[in-house]
Amino acid sequence: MSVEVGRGVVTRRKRNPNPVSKARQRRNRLTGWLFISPWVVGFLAFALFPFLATLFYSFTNYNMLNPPQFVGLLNYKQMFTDPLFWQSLYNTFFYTLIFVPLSTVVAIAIALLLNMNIKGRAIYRTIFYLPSVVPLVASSVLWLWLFNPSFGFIDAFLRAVGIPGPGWLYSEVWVKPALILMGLWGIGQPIVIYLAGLQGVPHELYEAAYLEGANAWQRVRNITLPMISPVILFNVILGIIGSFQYFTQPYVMTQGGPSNTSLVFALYLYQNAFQYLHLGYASAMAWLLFVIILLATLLVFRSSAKWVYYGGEQ
Amino acid sequence: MKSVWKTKVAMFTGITAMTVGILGSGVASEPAFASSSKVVHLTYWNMWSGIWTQVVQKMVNQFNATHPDIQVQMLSVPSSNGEQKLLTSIAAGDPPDVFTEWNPYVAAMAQQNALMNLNKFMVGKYAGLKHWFYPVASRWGTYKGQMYAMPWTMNTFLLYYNKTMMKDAGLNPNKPPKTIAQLEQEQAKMWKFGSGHTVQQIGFYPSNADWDKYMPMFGVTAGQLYNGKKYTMTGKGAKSIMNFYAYFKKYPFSQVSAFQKGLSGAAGGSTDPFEIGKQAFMITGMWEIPTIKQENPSLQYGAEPIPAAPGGHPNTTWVNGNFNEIPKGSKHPQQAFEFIAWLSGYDNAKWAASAYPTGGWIPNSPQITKQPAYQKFLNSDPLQKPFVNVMLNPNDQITPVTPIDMYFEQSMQTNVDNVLQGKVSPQQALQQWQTQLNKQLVTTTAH
Repeated sequence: MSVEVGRGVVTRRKRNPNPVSKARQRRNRLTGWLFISPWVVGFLAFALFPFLATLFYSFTNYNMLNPPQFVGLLNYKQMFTDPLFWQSLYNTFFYTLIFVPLSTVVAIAIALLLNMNIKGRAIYRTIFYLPSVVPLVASSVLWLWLFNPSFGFIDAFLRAVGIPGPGWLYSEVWVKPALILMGLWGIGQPIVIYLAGLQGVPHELYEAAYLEGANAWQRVRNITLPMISPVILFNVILGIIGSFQYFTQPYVMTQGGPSNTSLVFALYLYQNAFQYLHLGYASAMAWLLFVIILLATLLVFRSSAKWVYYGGEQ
Repeated sequence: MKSVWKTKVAMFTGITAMTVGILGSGVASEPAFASSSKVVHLTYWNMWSGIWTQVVQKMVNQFNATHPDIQVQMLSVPSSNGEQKLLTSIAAGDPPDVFTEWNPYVAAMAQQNALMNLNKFMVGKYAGLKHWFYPVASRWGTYKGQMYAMPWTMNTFLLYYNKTMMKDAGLNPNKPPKTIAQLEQEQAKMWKFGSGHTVQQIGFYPSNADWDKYMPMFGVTAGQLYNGKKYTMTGKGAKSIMNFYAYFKKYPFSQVSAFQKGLSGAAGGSTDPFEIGKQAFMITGMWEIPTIKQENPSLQYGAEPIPAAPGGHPNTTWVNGNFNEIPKGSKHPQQAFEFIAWLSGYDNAKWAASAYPTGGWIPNSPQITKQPAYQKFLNSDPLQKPFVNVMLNPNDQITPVTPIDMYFEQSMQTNVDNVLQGKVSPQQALQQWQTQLNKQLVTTTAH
């Protein structure tokens, strides 16, 4: 914050040959700080402090009730020999690696359809966005019903066409695909962002391509996708972060079962913290997750030079 | 200009002060009560919801009416994270005075010094409390010889059997299985499958959360599994429980759990296949009786003590229930103790004998059971009686009370699932479970 406030003052001084009085400057700065103070105080107390505290706790044995005891890197070492840690990490990677690409393709496809000039477009757009308005816990309970092998709509439909339901949330093989499928239902947010991106693509590009004889797929491939690639980058990064932190749905729907096949990283972290009272270990896990997310985001950013096109720069 | 600036500052100081004030007000309200008069106000948390809240609130109201100098305010906390809220409140130094616990957290909390030792209060007029409870009832809340959770009402478990299904299978509906071997044989006749191996009807299928409930029927004691220092899961009795599970690996695991859990999931956890006449035998608690009465009153069924395996004990049960704790940091522990002793019916058996039946509850003490009011309740429904009778058996069991009980339950389910699916042998599962438990024990008790 201070950097930006300072910089503003410096540039103004350059433009204005008569420098503003020192006292006035100080007063302005103070006013600025006072204006943002509710946010700063909140950030320091409820974000930065807990954030740093978990770093400290990750080097301790801590159970909330007794003072933490310093144990060095023990919590981090322990992770490598904890089979459930690996299982939960695998589950989270499985979910992320399938859900993020899949949801990107589906969201773009839907956005393209919703961008077409058809009757009732506003209604369709609303329908696709609606699931995002439903609270996560409520939609989880709803899907618990839909996936229900005895009374669920999905299995009733499958039975009607002669396919036995796979047991979904109660099957070790199908529980992760079921959760991914359910995730696709809630991608209204990225769809809206893609739609905005699509509307920013200049019309004359399409006209020119059309005159050159490009077909619909060629227009999408060579105009639409490059032009919205910054939007794709944004959504992919948000998707990666969200997927690594995936928690609510398995917490409500499966509690990690069956046989830990839906025990995602964040859920195991929660169990360690609040069921087994290993807050130190859970803090270490949280930091590892932070590092993983950071690396994944960096990786995507690095690669973006190859596939993201910022029109204005060329 | 200057005055405008001052106004701005004043405005923001005001807003900031207001924010701080709002944040702080939650904490500040406490002393207002205490100073008003001699009346002691107790805060009481439990995890009940729905109709149960009303049943318990009524009991609290009766306490308040008879104790003008102690007024209890009851608060329901969500059962999904009740202990979490309790722990944070203890850590923050502002816990409730009483908490009702039904999950196996007692030893974990006692070990962290988060609960008051109730034995210290059992002096004077409360000295008799030491011998008030059914012996097995007090063991659940006792860690290292000291009571940290006082028994309130008990859960006991019986074998329910569907008479109609027995008749259809050519069995005598009034002669339920007396041995495990009979149970295995008879239940095998009742399974029904649909297309693609989907399950339509179950004979009997052991739940992955019930391993410890089978302890008494196979003669396994808590002491055999845990000696105060480490777990031994590979003993003969433990092996016979796992072998019992292994018998059921011939049934399709995921289809069965889809069928069973699908039913309970659909009804928010309250419907099981037995209630709707789709399962012949089931081992569960006394709460099934009122549920069937409400959901499916025409169901023809009975309930009797769980059959015993060779080496096991007949007429026994595994026990848990509702237990009251006084968290460390309670501001009025003496009054809190008076409250929980009253709820347990101590010096108050007549009240308890008429109040407990309102929840269909099983008493914590034979002194309550023998009261005319409770006997009247038992005689009103012959199904209730065996649930109370099994409380007297010296071979009743509880899960070992250790600081890692929650982990015990979680790891139980995974290892039992592996056996039910035939992924590992019973011996391998027990070996792995034992390793996991002792490892967890070391990390938990290290500090």
